[in-house]
Amino acid sequence: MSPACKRWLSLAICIAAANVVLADGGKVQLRREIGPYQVTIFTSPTPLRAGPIDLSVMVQNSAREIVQDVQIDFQLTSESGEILLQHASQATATNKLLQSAKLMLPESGVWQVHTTIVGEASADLDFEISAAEAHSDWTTAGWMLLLPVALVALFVMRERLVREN
Amino acid sequence: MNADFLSAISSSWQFSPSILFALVVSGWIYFRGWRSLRQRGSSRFPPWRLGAFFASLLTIFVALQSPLDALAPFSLQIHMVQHLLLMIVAPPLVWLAAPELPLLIGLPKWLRDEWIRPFARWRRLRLALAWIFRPQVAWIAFTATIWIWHAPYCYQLALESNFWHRVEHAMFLMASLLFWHPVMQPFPLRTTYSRWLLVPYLFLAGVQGTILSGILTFSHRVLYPHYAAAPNLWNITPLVDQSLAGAVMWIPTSLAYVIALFWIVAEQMSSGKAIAKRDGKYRSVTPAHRSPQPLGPRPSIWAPLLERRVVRLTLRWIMFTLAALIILDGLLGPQISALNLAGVAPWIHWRAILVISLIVGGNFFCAVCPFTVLRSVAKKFNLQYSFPKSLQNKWPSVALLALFFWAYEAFSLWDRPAWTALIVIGFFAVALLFDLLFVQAPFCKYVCPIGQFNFVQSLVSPSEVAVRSPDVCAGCRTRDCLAGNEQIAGCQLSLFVPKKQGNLDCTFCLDCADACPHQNITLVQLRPGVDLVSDAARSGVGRYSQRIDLAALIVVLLFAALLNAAWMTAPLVSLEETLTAAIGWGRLPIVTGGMLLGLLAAPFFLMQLLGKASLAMSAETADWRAPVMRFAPALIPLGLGMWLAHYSFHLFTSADSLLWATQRMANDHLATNFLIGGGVCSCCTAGSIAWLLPLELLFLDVGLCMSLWAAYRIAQREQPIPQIVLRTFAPWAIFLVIFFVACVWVLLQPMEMRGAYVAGL
Ligand code: SF4
Ligand code: SF4
Repeated sequence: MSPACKRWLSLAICIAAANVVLADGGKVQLRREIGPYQVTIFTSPTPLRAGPIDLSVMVQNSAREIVQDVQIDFQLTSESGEILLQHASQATATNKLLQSAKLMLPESGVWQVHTTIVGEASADLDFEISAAEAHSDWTTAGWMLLLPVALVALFVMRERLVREN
Repeated sequence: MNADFLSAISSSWQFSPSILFALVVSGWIYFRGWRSLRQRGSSRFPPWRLGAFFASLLTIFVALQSPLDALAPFSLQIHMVQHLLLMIVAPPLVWLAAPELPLLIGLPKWLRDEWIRPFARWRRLRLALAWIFRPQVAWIAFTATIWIWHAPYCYQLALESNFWHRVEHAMFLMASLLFWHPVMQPFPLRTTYSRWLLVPYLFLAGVQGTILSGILTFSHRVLYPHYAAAPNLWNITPLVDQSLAGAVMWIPTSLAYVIALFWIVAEQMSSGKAIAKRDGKYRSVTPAHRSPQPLGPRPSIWAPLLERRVVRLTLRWIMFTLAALIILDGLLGPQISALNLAGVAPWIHWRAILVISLIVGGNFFCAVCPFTVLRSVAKKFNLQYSFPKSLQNKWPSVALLALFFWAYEAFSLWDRPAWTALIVIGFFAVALLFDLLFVQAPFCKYVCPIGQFNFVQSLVSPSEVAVRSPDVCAGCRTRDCLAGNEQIAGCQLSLFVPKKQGNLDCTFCLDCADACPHQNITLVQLRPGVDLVSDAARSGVGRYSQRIDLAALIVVLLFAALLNAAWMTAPLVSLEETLTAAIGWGRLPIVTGGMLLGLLAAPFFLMQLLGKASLAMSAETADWRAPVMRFAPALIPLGLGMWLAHYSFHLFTSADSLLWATQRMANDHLATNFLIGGGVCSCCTAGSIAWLLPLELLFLDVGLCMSLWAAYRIAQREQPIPQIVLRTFAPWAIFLVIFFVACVWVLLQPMEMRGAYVAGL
């Protein structure tokens, strides 16, 4: 394989691979037996930050079977008293083994999470999550600025190579 | 396994747009190249190579998007299967496909010539790549990647963070491609080292794989805390899961190395004969017949659709019906813009779809323009006046566009469904009146603000209406494409297609194609942006560099892109409120003053400054308008990037508002059940939808790069001396970068949600 083609192929693969690998992630926040259920809660992103977050739940019965016909609701309360309510559903989850709630955390700090699970039996679950400061949009903009810088650098290099040749 | 589990897992396929896009694009490029090689008679690319490439893409898709990915967070074994697909199945398939030539040939020629070739000749890069692809380096990179990512900290990191998970998978795929490269020796690679080297290469890879698998299989503790905490799906302990994962890694990888080892040894043992046989086989092939390449430019992918007159007419009537619905609801529906079709369809959906279609294909709106639907009727009563000569330029449309942007802001048009309906009626009335009075469709060419917007932005579109073969035109005496005939009118915009270049003033109506007796006109591919840097004389338009009216139009549209978005941001809204309160004459004078300043005065002075700076830099003596006319086309991509970013914000945050408005209208007129959701505005910044801000910034980035490229090429076109090229380009580059930063600032501001309910995303 000629070097030029190797380079092109490697570049294509880098680009493809960077896009290709959107896997599910998420941290196991807690796992508890409550009544007849075993409940596992995942949080994303890691580390948790103010801004868009995902709370996903897996509910299993005593035989470790996944239970889908349960209503799951979250109530999040911040230190400043802000309250967020969100219903979790399978429809919003990419991984359909989970029921997921997408929320927008308006502030950082510790949030008390109250989870209600209602199915054949009912269960309540309380825990805390700690959210760091949100990424500033300027951070995103900063990253996105790298693209024109890189393309301009590539162009300058190309012009030089063309001149030298 | 219960039914819930089975149904959940079977519906856990993902269709991530970025993954699908990457796979489809690479598959398409390979296919194009492969097909071209086959047409040239290459026997080295039998159909199985194409099959191998598609199989590799399918493997990657299954590894990353199938239910395997949904199960991977709960089971190390499944995660291991995912990794093995990326490491021992997909890479050998990629190399079996010998992708080098097909991928190169499958690319557009200009990309190959302008971007691949210069780098391909760069010696340092060639050496660096040759070094990376050396077996020793590939082996170390492969082993290091595997061990690093199986270290508990790194693996745990990948399990918890989406970002690191992507990096992990990308590194596995790339390192494995490197590893399998010398083993598979894809055509046209010729190694300079003995293939016997691959025996220790594969053996040692097997040894390190055995050690790692052994650690996983026989460890007495769970190495990755994530799996100890994750839900147990199959009643096996995390430790057993880990041991099984070790076995899953051990057996297939060892098998892959052993098969490769046997293959290499067998090949080397019979190398003389095998190589002679292989080379002989390829030499003995008689050159396959080469299918004749069609002459002329390649047709656009939109050609088969739009070439058919019936399709265009149907689309035109659909647009007409939609416009009628908008008028109806605007006049009769509730004056709540978010619940009225006239509130959401034109201001949220149509604008975004318009700019997107300009980018993907061209001026499709004008091709199916509802305002010209009655043109053929009007022609029967046409009074045959000529449009006044003094108005046959872009100045009337510059004035009308400025007036429109002012009215949009001054009268909050997005919030007035009835006014919107009246504007649409006005468009119909004026278009009809012009068609009754004048010949040669001056409404489209000189008046219609939508048309002017489309003409200008379509200068970067990837399609244009052009002739298939200039030779056919050379022998044509009738020129029906321009003059028309008894059945079909020719180009009403007075464009003579063989001499037309680019998209300016072309409505994509393809009337010329219908009129041409030789079927010599179609929609062809155009390299995006190339028209901006050409200063050829064009039919009906002349040279861009001599059209001050066109330059003014481009500049007004550029500044309108910024101002139109900026006026909905919190800082500008609060500035407007402060000034309104301070002056006490209401908001009309403030908006009028702001628009005069932002759309006309500031652009005028800035262009004057830039023109003079350009002249000073090139030591040229001319009027300051000369460089402005030359460089104005380069401003278009950045402006289009901003329009696209702004409109996509509205589209993606309020797409579902069309549904609410349609349901409400149906309920009003058909007494259906109407349930409104939402009602609270929760998405006032682009950052509130994770991918929206990066997408908007990407549009701007691409716009900036394309504008900089065009400005540089224009400078090169005008100045033969490299030092002067840079100096002439510098003022425009500085302006473009400052303008880009201003656009970024605007996009980062909280936005007023205009006439829309909540995002449904
Ligand atoms: S009518 Fe057809 S063949 Fe004649 S000049 Fe026009 S495009 Fe060419
Ligand atoms: S050249 Fe004229 S007739 Fe042909 S598509 Fe363009 S506007 Fe229509």
